Amino acid sequence: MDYEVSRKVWESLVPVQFTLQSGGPLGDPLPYYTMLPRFTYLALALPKALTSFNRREDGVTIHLDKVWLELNGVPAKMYVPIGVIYDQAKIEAESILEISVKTTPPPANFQMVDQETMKAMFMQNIKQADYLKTEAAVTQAMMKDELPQLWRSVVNNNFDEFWAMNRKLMETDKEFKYVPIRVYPGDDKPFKQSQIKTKKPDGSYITVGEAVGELLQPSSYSTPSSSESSTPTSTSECTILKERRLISHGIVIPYHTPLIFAAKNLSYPDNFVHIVIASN
Amino acid sequence: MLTEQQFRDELRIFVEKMNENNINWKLQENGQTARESHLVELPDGEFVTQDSHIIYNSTYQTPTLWFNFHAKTGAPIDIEIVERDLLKIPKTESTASIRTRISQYEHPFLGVLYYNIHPCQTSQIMKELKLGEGTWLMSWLSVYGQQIGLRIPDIQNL
Repeated sequence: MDYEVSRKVWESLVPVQFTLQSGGPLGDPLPYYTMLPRFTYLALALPKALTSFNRREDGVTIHLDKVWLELNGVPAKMYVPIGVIYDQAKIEAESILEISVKTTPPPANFQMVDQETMKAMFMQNIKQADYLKTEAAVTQAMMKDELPQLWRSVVNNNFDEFWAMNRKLMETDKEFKYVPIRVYPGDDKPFKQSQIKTKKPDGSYITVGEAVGELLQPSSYSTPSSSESSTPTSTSECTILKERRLISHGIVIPYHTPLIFAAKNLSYPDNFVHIVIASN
Repeated sequence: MLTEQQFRDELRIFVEKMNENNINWKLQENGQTARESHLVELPDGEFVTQDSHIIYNSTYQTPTLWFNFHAKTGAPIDIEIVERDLLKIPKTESTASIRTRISQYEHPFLGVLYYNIHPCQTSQIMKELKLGEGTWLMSWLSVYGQQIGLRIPDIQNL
């Protein structure tokens, strides 16, 4: 693990604007502007935005369970890291991510995620990632309070506390069996995830480009998962990734980056590498 | 452990057997998932739809049970109502404890939040059951489906 890279990844912020559209008698309050760490979630940021809206005198108090969030005309996913939402939002680099807070009846495909639910999802992600890496050896050996500590350090934005614990998940005795990676194909489609190894049979490292190519292959669902299926061929990579960029933490990840490097250094706190596909 | 191909074969047989017993599971997404939905009554008399999906989880290499409850408007039912009124989990189990075994997660095909029963123990549980070909999913559902009130035919009669 590279301390400088991990520190930069942790400290990376994105500008976000929350706008309340309540249609109240006093008109809407001023938007709430904030810089949010890429690793955090709308589930954690929304209560602060609401506190700001509710600070108005005589204003109607807006409750968490009465609002829903919209981004670019579609319901926002409150459980996806904000950095991933930002990279998917098709906005110019460094421009503001605009989140509308709405008080109309929520559409069927929006679900409010409160902090408890978010915590449960985060822990499930960590466990899943560790299952891929070590067949859950690390998380099973952890003390009861150690996983919640990871979540606390995310909530409190505490890099040192986070890495004191995360080191155990990243610096394992054995090499990772599979790499936890999620690929977002775009157009609000669900992410893709599978068992992707770190090395090819000849011992060379699997690259990020190859891993993404494998995950986006239409046939990856229809072929039985065998040891061969996680060894991508270069043809699939070429046909699928033609003229596409791989974005993580706002930067273009070169195709030839070894996947294991991305796993150790570019993973989000949930222990997954999140790659957004952008068309050129 | 079940390969994806084995899962698909088992799923086809499972759906046929369920249909013979008048339980209406349907294959979807080219045979990658099976789906069943029916109405459930809330304590206040309102009827909501319970929608259940069996989907292969390629991380754990096991089937996973996904489900959600929707009002007539299509809006998902609040999590507390799901846990206490629909799944009827007694108050003696804390919310935190429930969410270590059942929680919301992004549905792999629909891309919206659904509940899933965590599959991390599935392989272990299934090892302890004696299984013949074509009975895997039925036995699996008898373990997992009852937690969310799904109907299962008497396995002895199959």
